[in-house]
Formats: sequence, structure tokens, C-alpha cells
Amino acid sequence: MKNNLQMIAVLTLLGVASGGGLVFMARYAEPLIAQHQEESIKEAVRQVLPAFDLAREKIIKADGQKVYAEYDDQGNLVGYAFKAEGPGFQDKIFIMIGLAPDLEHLAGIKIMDPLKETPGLGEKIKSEAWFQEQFRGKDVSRPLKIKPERPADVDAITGATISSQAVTRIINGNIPFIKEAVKRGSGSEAPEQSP
Amino acid sequence: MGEIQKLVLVFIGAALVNNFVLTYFLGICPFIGVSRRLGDALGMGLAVTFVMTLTATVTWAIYYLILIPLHLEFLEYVAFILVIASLVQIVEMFLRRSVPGLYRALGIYLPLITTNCAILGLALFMVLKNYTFPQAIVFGIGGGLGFTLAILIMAGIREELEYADVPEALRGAGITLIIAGLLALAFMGFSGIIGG
Amino acid sequence: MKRNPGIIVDFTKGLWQDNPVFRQLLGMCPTLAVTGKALQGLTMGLAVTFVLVSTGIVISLIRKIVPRQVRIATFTVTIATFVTLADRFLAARFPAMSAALGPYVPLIVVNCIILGRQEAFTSKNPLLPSLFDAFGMSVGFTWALVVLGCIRELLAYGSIFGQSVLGTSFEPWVVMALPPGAFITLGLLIGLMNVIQKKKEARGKE
Repeated sequence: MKNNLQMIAVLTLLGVASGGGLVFMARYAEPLIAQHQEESIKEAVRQVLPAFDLAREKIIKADGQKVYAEYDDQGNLVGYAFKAEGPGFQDKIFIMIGLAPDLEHLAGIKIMDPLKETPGLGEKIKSEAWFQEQFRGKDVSRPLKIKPERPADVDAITGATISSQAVTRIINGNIPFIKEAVKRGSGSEAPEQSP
Repeated sequence: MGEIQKLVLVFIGAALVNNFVLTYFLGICPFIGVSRRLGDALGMGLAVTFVMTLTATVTWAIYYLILIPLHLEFLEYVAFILVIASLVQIVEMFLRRSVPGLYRALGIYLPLITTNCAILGLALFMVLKNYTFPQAIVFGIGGGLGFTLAILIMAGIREELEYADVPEALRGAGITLIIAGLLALAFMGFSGIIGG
Repeated sequence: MKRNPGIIVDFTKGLWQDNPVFRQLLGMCPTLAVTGKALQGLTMGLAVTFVLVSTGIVISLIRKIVPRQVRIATFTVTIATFVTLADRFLAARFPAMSAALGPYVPLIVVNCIILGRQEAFTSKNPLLPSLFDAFGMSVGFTWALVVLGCIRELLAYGSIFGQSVLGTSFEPWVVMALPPGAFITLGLLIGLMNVIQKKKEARGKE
């Protein structure tokens, strides 16, 4: 009997101490983690939509996903950005796609973390900067073609052919969604002041 | 992509492409410890598959039906490990009373499974990959069978190895790890088949 | 093997003769999974150090009031709590490193070193020896991970801790960054440690 009481007491005390510690840590960590995620998206948007200043941001929601419409301080539309994902060689690849205001040209793309492609091979789609750079300004009114398709719009990386193709496929697959979301969602929300 | 197709991809992904042992390095301890005899390896593999499938089912329910609605995600690890430990105990008691045949075959491997990182790894990856309930179950079965396949191959090789002249320093863990490396190299041939 | 008592031995045994990775073959999952780069190995080593030492302190202090039946449950909850603390801290302060280590930080919960030390040592010893034991094992684990990380990073990327060593003309051994490289390197290192240990023992006998 005494033993049972002691058992319950010890486990209860331990549970309370553990729960308390975890709540305390969660209070401290969660805002920081959320902030990092927001910053990594902001940072990526800034890289794919090159402008002197992105002053305002409008978030268009479609199918539970967010398309970011960015404006400069004069109120001119700079472009749209969308975080797309799709299967790569090893695991999912996340790409921030930047579209010019005409919705027909890529403003830029950025391969985001976490990238789990093969180190030293597929990983090159991120580490070799020219690969992402070559997408800038490409016409996407029709699907992009990547070598060995001809005529090719973009080059694949030697040793990372499949990952390169995956990136192109993810971009091609998501452009229609972005266009659709922008058309359906435009005007539904006033531009909001970004903090 | 159809729902069934997605399930097939999850299965192949868990069993071959991202094999728990050879790509994620999970369950290395039993992989080295219980791979001397084919019979033992098969028993261990089946016990792990069984517990993995159950774990996927139960931890999915706990995470998405209890922890998320109550905003208790920070209890994830504590909850998962307690669930796994109790699950293994319950399975052991149930088998001993109700299915003694199966208990005799798998019983001795069950206690070893609580600290098998493949089980907790399965629950963690399931959350990371945002699997739906059917996908989580298929992930559990695929992961378990992938583990079974890896440990069976290893046991087959090690039974032959007894007649080989392995340098003394490498006997046991050393040569097992090196063979595992060669197996991992072979399994890399599977990567890419779900991407295309 | 010499047997001089005292807390110094509690510390030093983890470094070499009972090294958790090379001699006891414990905690293999993180050892193989995160040592593609030296810095990742070091971070994992420090996370394990934090968990092992904190758990050691708590278990050693409460060991007398914990009934035998719930011993393992107590250990497990304590370990999982400290692992969550370490994991959340990494995610909050070092998001890139946290993303690179992925689920291998929470997997410290089932790392056999942690539970093994509580069972074998901490639950039977007072605070001070337990602390030295935990530190010894942690340092032993960490140096093993860093050595493995350095070798693999050097051959796979030509660098150590991100600093280029072999220059641009070096053709990287991609396989070292991949799972096969992890298995083979660790296998050979364990072989090497066995050879060194044999030599030491032979010398001790003379």
C-alpha cells in the first residue's frame, strides 16, 4: 500500500515537473520557430522578386495555400511568389517560384531548405548558383523544357539530371495553379501593410 | 495521382528507396545483434513489422486526434515513447495469453523492440511527412518489411561468412558494418524510382 | 586493465576502454546518420551530452525515492523531457542545424547510451560519480562522432568543419557523404580501434 502511494506520488511529481518544463520551453521556443519560418519565406520571396523595396504584401488564399502578391512603395505590383513542393530524387523539393506581374514570365526561383537530395550530386541544384539563375525571365506561357528535351529552355546539371528535371516539373506543374489563384483571388483583399 | 497509387509509392518508398536500416540508419542495434542466424533474423523482422504497423496506427491517432486538437505538440516525444513502451508490453501480454504459438516465435524479440529506434523513428517520420491515416499504416507495413528484408539479407551473408577468413580486428561488428555499407550501395539503385 | 578506484576512472573509462561508440557499439543510429559533416557530429555530441548529464543529475538525485516497478518509466519520461528541451532549443536558436539533423535529435530518446548508463551506473551511484560517468561517456561519444564526421567530410567535400582543406583540384568521394560511406567508415574505424586495443593489452602484459 505504502509502495503504491509512493509510486503514484513519484510519477505525479515527475509528470508535473516534466510538463512544466516542457510548457516553459514551448513558450520560449514556439514564437522563435514561427519567426524563423516566416523569415525564411520572406527572405525567399525577396530573392525571387528582385526589387529595391517590397513595401506591401497581399496574401491570396486558394485551396488553403498562400500566393504572395508583392508591391513596391509606389504601390506598383512587383510580382507573385508561391512556395511549391514536389517529389525530387530522394525526397520532397521545396521551391519558391517568383512570377512577373504579367504571369507569363518567371521572375526567379529559389530552392528552399530542407533540401534532402543526394549530397554532392542532386544537392547541386542548390549549391551551383547558375542553375537557379538561368530560370530568371523565362517565358512560362507554355511548359519549360529541360535538356535533353529539344529545344531546351534550361540546362540540367551533370550528375543531378533527375533533380534538375524534378525542379522543372514542379515549376511547370504549379504555374497554372498560381495563375488561377491570382485570377480568382484578385481584388478580393486590399493590399495589407507588411510589418 | 490516385489514392491507391500514392499508397503504393509510400510502400515502395518505405521498404526499398528509403529503407529504414540502410538509408535512415534506424534499427542498427538489432540489425547487428540479431543477424547471425536466418531464423532469428526472420523472427525479429516479423516482430518489428508487427509492432511498426501497430505503432503507426496508434501514434497517428494520438498525434492527430489528441495532441494537435489540444495544441500539445510539445508533448510529442514523451507521448510517443510512452505509447510505444506500453504498446510493446500489451502486445507481449496479449500474445502470451491468446496466441501462444506466435508468442513462442516472436516473444523473445519483443522486449528488445522498445529501444529499437526504428519504431520511434517511424512515428517521427510519419509526422514529418504529413501522412494521412491509410498512408501511415502502409508506411508502417512497408518500413517493417524493408527492415525484415535488410536483416534477412544480412543474416544470409553472415551465415556464409562463418567459413570466410575475416581479419581478426574486423570480426563481428566491423565486417557487419562494411557489408551493410555494400548493401546500402546496392539499395541506392532503388532511389529515383518514385521521383519519375 | 588497471583498476584504480575513484571518480577519475568514472570519467576516463568512457573516453577509451568503454567508449560507447567504438567499444560498446551503442548509439549507432546518430553515429551513422549525422556524421556526413563534422559540425553536425559535434552538435549531436553536445545534444547527447546535455541529455545524458541532465538526466544523470535528476536520476541520481531521485534514485532513492523511485520504486523499483516504475524505474524504467521514470527514466524514460525524464530522458524524453530533456530531449524535447534540447530539440526545441536547437530549433529556436539554430534552425538550419535543426533542419539538417531532422528526427535524429528526438531519436536521442531511444539512444541506448542514455538509458544504458542510467540502468548500469546512475541508479546505483551518488551524484558526483554519476556526473563524472555521464561526462566521460558524453565526451567519448562526442569525439567518436567528430572523428567520423571529419573523415567523411574531408573525403566527401574536401573540407573539415566547412573549411576547405584539400583545395579545388580534389575530386570529392561522393559516396562518403552517402549511407554506404557511413557504414564502411565506421566498420573500418571499429577494426582500427580493435587493433589499437590489442596492441595496448599486449604491451600491458609484458
